[in-house]
Amino acid sequence: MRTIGKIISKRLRQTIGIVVLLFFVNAVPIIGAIQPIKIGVLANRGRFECMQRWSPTATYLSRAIDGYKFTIVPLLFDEIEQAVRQGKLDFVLTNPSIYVNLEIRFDANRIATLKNMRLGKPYTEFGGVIFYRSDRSDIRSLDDLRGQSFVAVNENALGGWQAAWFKFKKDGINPYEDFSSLKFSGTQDEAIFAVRDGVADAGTVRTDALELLAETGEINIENFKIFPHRDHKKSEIFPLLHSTNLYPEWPFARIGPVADSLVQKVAIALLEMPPSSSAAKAAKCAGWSVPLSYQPVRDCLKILKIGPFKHYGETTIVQFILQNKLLTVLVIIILMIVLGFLIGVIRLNKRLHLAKQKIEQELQERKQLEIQLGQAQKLEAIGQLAAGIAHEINTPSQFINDNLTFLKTAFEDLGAVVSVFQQTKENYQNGKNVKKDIRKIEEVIESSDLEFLEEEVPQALEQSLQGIDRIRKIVKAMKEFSHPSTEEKKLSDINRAIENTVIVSANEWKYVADLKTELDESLPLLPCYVDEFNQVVLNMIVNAAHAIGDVVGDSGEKGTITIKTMRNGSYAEVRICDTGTGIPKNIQHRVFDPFFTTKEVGKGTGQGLAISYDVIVNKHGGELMVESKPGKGTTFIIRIPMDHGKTKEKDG
Amino acid sequence: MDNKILFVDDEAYLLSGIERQLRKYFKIDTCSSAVEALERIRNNTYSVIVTDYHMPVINGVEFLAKAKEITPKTVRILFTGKADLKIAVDAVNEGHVFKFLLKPYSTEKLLSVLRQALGHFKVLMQAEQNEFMALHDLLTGLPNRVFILQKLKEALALAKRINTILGVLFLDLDGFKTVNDRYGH
Repeated sequence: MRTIGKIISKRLRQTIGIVVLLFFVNAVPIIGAIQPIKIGVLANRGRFECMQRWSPTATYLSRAIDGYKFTIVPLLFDEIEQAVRQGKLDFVLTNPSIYVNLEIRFDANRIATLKNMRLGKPYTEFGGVIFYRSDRSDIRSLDDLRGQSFVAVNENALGGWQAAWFKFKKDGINPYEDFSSLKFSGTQDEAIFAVRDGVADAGTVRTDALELLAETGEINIENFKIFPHRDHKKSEIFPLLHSTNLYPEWPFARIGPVADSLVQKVAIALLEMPPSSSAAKAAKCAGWSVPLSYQPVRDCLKILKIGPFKHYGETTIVQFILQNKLLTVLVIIILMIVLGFLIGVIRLNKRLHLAKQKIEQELQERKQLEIQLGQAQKLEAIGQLAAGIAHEINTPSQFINDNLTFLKTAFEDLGAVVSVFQQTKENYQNGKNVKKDIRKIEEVIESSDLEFLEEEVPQALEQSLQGIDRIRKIVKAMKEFSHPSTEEKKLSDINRAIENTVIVSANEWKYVADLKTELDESLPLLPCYVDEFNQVVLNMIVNAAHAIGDVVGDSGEKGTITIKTMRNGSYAEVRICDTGTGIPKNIQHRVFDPFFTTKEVGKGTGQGLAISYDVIVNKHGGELMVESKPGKGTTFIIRIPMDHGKTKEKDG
Repeated sequence: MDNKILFVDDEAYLLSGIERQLRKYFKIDTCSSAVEALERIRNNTYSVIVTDYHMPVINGVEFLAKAKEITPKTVRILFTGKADLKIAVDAVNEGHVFKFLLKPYSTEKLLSVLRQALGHFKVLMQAEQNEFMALHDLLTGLPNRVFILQKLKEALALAKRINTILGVLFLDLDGFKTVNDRYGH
């Protein structure tokens, strides 16, 4: 709405302009048709001072140019931009940095530069002067100002701050960080007083400020030192004290859609303004010059990144995109391809991860199952052995029981004999006739079968002791055989392990075979999982017994199982030979395969030798071989490394 | 026929333990091998045979089956330290055992089983004797009239069935009175 309003008001003004022109051509000028022209002026020292200083110039222009009424619109620093944006102004008179801002953002166009009157001389340029008290001998260069307190006039003042800041920046000093304090006094004089009174170590003011104040006698200029500007050529033209680059004075600029003819007239009027005119005097100037270049101001603001250059050097994304459309599109396509690829990779990764997890889980389950299978095998073996072992234990416990019963009655019989002897002795001591007693003795000896007892009692005792020893041995062997599994290998006596296994498995072989052991007692202790080793030996013995059983059948003959241990290089070797059926040549290579069995259903799972192979080869780093002659018998050879370190390596 | 009991077990100590314990109550024979035991059965008469199951060459059930062929009336008992259903079934069906004993057993249990076995044997023998007495002449031990009539009946029925002629030879033994007068009546 506002924009529409603006357009309408512009149209209206133009129409009025045309109407005025018509009057000029066709009739006498009419007072009422005078067009108002607004000049926005920066009121850097307040609206009142601004009006005082510049109203005469407006009056001068109104007089010089017919048909226009020029008025001054005093504007504070922060009001100018808004006023311009609202299109309220036709011309603008402001300081160089604000002008540069308007030039860049609102197409302001300078038509004249102020000739400032200072100490009786006109200047179209100004700058900053950086000064300190002359008694500060410790300050020699700008670098010495680091860590000192500093005072300037106003953050937006070009001469009173920005010019000095630019110089500092070029010298590598950041005033906002490197000074112990940075203050803005508000006026030139206050800044000078602050340095004079030692409130600040150094300060900056606009060129001419020091000279002006010295003229009033409030300061002695000899008490101050400045950092001189090194541009000697300019120094000759510009006699005032200055420390910084020089910048053009305030410009008078067109801002609104003012007719070129009017602009031309205004420019001519300003250039023709005599220094002696009341307007010039009020404005404290020597009139106006042709517009100077404001490029130095631009450069300064650019480097300080202030005003219109606040974001200078920071290319926005939107700008970049607009400038590089093709590249942007390409980049976006590439980005999308990469993104798509990335998503694909991430998805694949996720799937892989899931698959890996699943496999790990399955592996875990498999390991668990293997452990369980091993345990089950062990239990099965123990269960299989249990009945046999029960028999082995029950038989001695039976005859021990029988013997004890016999001994009990024997003791009773003997007691009877003893009591008869006792009686006889008593009677004899009492001087009685013992002839009758002697006969009694003969009778009781006869009836108690003393001779038999004398012969049998020691035998019964001996056999019972042997029976108990047998039970003890079986129980011990059983205990050692079924020793709980250990996580790590333990040094074990494999001869003992074999003996135990032979004992617990006795019931499996003793009805079909004699079992001989030839154990090399010089074998060292071997690192092994003894329970699993036992399992292997048991498997071998049971297999041997079955093989022999198949040969001897019901003939009443017995085969032979021979178990030998010996050294063989760095291995301990166990040989288990039987006189059984032997293994046919064509299946010898398959005996260690899982589930391979020639036994009838229910008699063998085909797991025994496969597990044995795993135990000996994989877990112990050993070897398991079979030698067999069909019809003659089979020998299983187990080799377990004796070197502890080696096994560990293989195992690991 | 004097109530002899035969124990068979491959464990010699077990046999000697039994012998020591039972010698006061029974007449005992022991044998540590089934093969040898069969030999003994052929040459001796036993009222009861008690055998272990697990023995080399021939197991207890097989042994009892063979023993039954030799002396069908001898009472058979199996005792074992390892009992499973198969052994028990075989023992009943093939060994025709009277009792099945589990090792270890108490002395009282063994005694009681053996007494039952002997009683059973006695009954068997009695039945055999009664049958013999019913069909034979007490004095001569020859088949009597009942026996002849029974046999004749069978022979006639057979002849009728296969349609053949039956011949009966009747012998009269003279002068038997003297024997009767001296030994009989």
